[in-house]
Amino acid sequence: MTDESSAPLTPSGLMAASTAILVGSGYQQIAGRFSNWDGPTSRLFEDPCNIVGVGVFDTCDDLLRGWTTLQESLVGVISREVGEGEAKASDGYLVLLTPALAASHEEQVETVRYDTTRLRKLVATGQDLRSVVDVERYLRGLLPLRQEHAELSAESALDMLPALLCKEGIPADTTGELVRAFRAQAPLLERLHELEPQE
Amino acid sequence: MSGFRGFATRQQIDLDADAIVVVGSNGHGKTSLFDAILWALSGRIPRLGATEKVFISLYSASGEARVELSLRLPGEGGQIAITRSCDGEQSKVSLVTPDGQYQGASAEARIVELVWPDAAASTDASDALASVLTRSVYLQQDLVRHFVEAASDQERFAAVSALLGAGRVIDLQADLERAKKAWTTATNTRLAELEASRERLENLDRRVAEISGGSSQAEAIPVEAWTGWWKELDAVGVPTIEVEPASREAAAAIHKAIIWLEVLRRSASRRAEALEVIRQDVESLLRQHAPDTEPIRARFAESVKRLEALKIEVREEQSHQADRVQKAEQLKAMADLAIQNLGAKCPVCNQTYDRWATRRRLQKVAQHPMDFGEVQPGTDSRLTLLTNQLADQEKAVSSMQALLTGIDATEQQVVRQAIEARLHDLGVEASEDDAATAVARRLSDGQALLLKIGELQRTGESFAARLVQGSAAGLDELRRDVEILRKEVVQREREVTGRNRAGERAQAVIEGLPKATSAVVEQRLTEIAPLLQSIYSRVDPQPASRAVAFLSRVVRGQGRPSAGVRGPVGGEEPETPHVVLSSGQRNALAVCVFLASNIGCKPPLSVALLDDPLQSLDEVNLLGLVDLVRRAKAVRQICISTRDERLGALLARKLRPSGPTGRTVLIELGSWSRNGPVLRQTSSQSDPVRLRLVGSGRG
Repeated sequence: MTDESSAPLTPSGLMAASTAILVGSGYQQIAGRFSNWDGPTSRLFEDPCNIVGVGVFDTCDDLLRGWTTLQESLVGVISREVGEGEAKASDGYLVLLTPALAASHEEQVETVRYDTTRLRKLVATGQDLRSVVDVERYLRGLLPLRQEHAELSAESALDMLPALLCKEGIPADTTGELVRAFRAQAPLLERLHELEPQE
Repeated sequence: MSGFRGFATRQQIDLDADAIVVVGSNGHGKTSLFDAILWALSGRIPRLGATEKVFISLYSASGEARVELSLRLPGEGGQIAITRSCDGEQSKVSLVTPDGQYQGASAEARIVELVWPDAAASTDASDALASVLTRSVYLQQDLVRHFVEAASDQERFAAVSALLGAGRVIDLQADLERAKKAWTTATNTRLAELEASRERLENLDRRVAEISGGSSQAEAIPVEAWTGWWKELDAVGVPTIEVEPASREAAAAIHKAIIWLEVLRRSASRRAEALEVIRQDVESLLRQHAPDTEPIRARFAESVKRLEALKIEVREEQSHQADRVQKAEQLKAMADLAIQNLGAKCPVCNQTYDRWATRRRLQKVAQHPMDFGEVQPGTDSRLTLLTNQLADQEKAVSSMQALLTGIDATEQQVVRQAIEARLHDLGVEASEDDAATAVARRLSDGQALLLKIGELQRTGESFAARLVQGSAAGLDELRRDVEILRKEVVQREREVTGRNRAGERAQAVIEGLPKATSAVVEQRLTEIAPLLQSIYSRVDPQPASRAVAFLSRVVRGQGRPSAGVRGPVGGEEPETPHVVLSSGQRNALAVCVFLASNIGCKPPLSVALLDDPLQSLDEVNLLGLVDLVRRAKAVRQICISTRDERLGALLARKLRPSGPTGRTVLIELGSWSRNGPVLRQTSSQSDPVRLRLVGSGRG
C-alpha cells in the first residue's frame, strides 16, 4: 500500500483504503446481498470474529446525521442473519469515516465514539485521518494480531554483546570468550587470562 | 491442587484450552490459581516472600500444600508433569517427562532446562525463572502499573532488561565485577610475593658481590665455641637449630638466632622498664601509708617502756616482800624460842624483868611477826597495785601490737592489690609478702638477662662475620641460587603482567557493559515498538492522536527506561502517562506493555496469565482490551480472571473457540468455605457457522 499522504483523502479514498486493509487482513467483503451495503459509501465485511460495517461521509454533519441509520441497518442485518444465541450477534462494529475536519463537532463525534449501545462505533474524522497509514492504524483494533506481531530476533542479548562492545574498542573474541565462559559457568578472568599471548 | 492458599481440599482444574476465563469474587481463589501455576514451575511466589508456610492453606487437612501441573511442550515434545509440595519445613518437587522421572534438585534443574534454559546460568536459577515468569507471563494485579508509574529508573531498567533478555547481560556484569575483584586480590598477593623475591635477589646479589670482593682467609668457628653459644642461646629461650658451623645453613641459623635474641632483648627491656615503673609506684605507695602509723608506733614504744619499768618495779617489790616474810619468820622463831626459855632473869643481861608482860609481848610477836620489825606498812597493797598495773599495761601493749600488725598487713595488701595485675603480667607472683622486694629481685634478674643477651648477640655477629669472610667455598652454590631466583623473578613478573592485562581487559568490558545493555534494550524495544503501538492502538479509542513509545536512554552509564505517550503533534517529548492519562487508561497502557512483552519477547511459556486486568477501565477501553485479548488468543494461550460476572460472560463469549478444534473453558469460583471455593467448569462452544453473512446466511 502506498502512502498517499501528499494527496488529500476523499470519501472514496477512505473506502478504498478500508476495503483493502480489511480484505487484506482476512475479512471477506459481503457484496450483492444487502443493498444498503453495496454502494461506494457503505460496505459490509465479515471474518470469523466480527461483522464490520464501514460508512464514509463527505462531512461531519453528514456523519452525525447519518450514523444512526447505518447502525439500524447493520443491527437489522445481524439480527436477521446471526442466531440470537450465537456469540457473533454481539460482535458487530460500525466504522464511521469522513475526511472532513471536525473542529466544531469534536464533542458530538466523541459522543458517538463512546456510545457502546447496540454496536461498537469506531469514528474517525479528518482530524485523525491524514493518510492511508492512519486508516490502517485506526482499523487495527479489528484486525488479527497475528499479522502484526513480530517476535524479537532469535539472537540472544548475550550474543549481541561482541558486536556492541566492539564499538567500544573491545575485541569481539574477548567478549565472545567471556560469554562462553559465563554460559559454561567457567572462571571468567581465567578465561581472559588464557587469551594472553604466551611467551 | 490441594492445601494451597485458598484451596484447602483437592481440586482438579482443566487448563487444557486456548482460553481460560476465571470468574470469582474477591477472596475466592482467582489469584491463588495463578500463583499455583507460578509456584509449581519455580517454587517461588516472589510477591509473598520467602516463607513457604504462607502458601499452605490454614485449613489444609494434611498440613501440606500440593500442586500438580501439566505442561505441553512445543512441537512433538509431549507432556511433562510437575508435582510440588511443602509442609512448611520441607519442600519436594518431582518431574515426569517423556525421557524420565526426576526428583529434588535434578527435577528443578530439568524444569529450568525445559522452560527457561537461560536461567541456568544465574546464581539462583529458580529465582531467575520466577522473575521472568512474573515479568512476561504472569501479569499480577497492579504490578505492571508499577513499571509505567512509580518505579525508580533503575528498577524499571532492571525490569525491562530482564523482560527483553538483557537481564543476562546484567548478570554477566555482576559476575565479572565479582571475578575481577577476586582476581585483583590474587594478583596483589602475587605482586607482594614478586617484591619479596626481588628483595631476596637483591640481597643475594649483594652477598655474592661482597664475597667475591672479600678475603678468602678466615678463621673457622671453633666447634666448642659454637656449641657453647647454642647452649647459652637455649638457656635464654632461643630455639636451637642443629647445624654445623661449616655448613651452608650456618649463616641462616645465625641470622635467625640473632633475630630471636633481638626479640628477647626488646621484650626484656620493656619488662625492665615496666618493673622500674612498678618499683617507683611501690615506693610512692609506701610513703603514702607510713605517716599515718607514726603516732601509734610512738605510743606503742612508750607503752613497751612503761611495761618494762613496771616489770622491774614488781620484781623489786616481790623481792622486798620476800625479805619481809623471811624476817617475820625469823622473828617468830626467836619469839617462840624466847617464850620457851623465859626464866626469872634475862639470859642475855641477867637482870630481872616483867615475865608476864614479856611473855605477852613475845606471844604477840610470834602471832603477828609482820607487825614488828622494819616492815613498811601497806607493802602488800603496793605489790597488788603494781601487779594490776603490770597486767593492764601488758594488755595495752598487746592491743597496740595487734593494731600495728594489722596496719602493716593492710599496707602490704594495698600495695599488692595496686600492682598485682601489673606484676602478674610480668610473671611476678602476687602472693609474695613483700612486693617491693619481689620487684627489686626481678629488676636485678632482668638486668642480668639483658647483659647476657647483649653478649650472645655480639658473639653471634662475630660468627656471622667469620662466615662471610670464609664463604668462598660456597660462592658457586650461591651464584647458582641467584640464577634460579632470577628466573623465578622473571617468571613471576611475566605472570603478574599477564594477570594485570587480563584485569584491564575485564575492566574495559565492565565499563562497556552498561552502554551495551542499554543498546540491547533499545534494540529490543525498537523491535517490539511497532507491536506495542499496534496493541495500544487497539485499546485507545483515539489511536491516531497518540503514540506510545518506549524510551531507553543511558544517563551517566545507567539505563533509564520509561513508557511515554506522545501527543498528536509529532516530535514532542513523550509525557509520562500519569500526566496525560486517566487511571483506567493507565491500567490499559500497563496491560498493553505487558502483552507487547509477552507476545514480542518469546517468554518461557506460550501463555499469558492475566489476573483481573480489566479493573477501573471505562467501557470503551474495556471493550478494546477484550478485543485485543481475543486477537492475542491466536498466538498465546490466554488465562484471564475477573471478579465481575458480567465481564466474565463477556470474556467467555469473546474468547469463544474460533473453530471446532478450539476450546475455551469458563471456571466459576463460587461461594468460599474452609474447604475452598465451589468450583464450576464449563466449556464455551464455537459458533456453529464461522461466517454468517458470507454464503447463504442463517438459513
